[in-house]
Amino acid sequence: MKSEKAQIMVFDILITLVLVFLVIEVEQAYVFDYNTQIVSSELSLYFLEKNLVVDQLISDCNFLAKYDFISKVCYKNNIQLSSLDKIVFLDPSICKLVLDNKIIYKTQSTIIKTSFTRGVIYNGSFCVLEVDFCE
Amino acid sequence: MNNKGIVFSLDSIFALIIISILFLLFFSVTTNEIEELTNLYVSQKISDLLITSQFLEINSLSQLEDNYNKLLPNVPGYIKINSSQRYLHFSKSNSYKKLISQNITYVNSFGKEVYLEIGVYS
Repeated sequence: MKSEKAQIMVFDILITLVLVFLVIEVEQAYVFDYNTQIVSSELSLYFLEKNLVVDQLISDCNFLAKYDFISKVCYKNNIQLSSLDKIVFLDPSICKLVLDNKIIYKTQSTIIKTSFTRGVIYNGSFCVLEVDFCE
Repeated sequence: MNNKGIVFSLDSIFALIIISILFLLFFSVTTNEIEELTNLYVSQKISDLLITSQFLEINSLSQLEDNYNKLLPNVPGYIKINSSQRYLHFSKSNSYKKLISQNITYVNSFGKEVYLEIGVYS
């Protein structure tokens, strides 16, 4: 009787282990590609980080945003180019800035990893600012 | 005695099914990340158009359309200034899944209230 009980227990554990193995295999092979998911999350984080950098670039008066010394107001989306050399302190991976198809800032890096375009005012007219990030 | 063994196996199967469902839920959330980030980027561009339009006091649809096309080329959407509205790159035959829109109301230098609305379909 006891040996019969032990046999059933061992058999049950074996079935459970086989089932666990099968489910994990199926999930890995057919349902999820774990590596792809991890890479996708890393890319999302990178995109979000650089997106915030661009947002700071056009809204922070230490960088491109225009500062009115008379009213002491910092204007978002209204840019001036007097602080172009400080961009490297914000993010060294910024390698090119293009304002309405005119290159206003460029480093030696050439392999562009991601690019953002934003609408800004420069010299009183609407322009498209392209910010490129290199590797 | 045999019943106990069957219950043990069934228990483990149920536990595995529940764990699998949790995995599915978790990964379906992460796959929406990219879509959410794209929506954020579009929202920022709409916001750019509204802020700059307010600053430049744009009151003609043609001027706003030019700016829209420069920033969002070939992207279906609409622009609205007060009661005038214009659809851009919009096709009625396409069934768009999502609309991202923003609006502002401001008082211009002539003391007149201006309503601006921009929407982007995806």
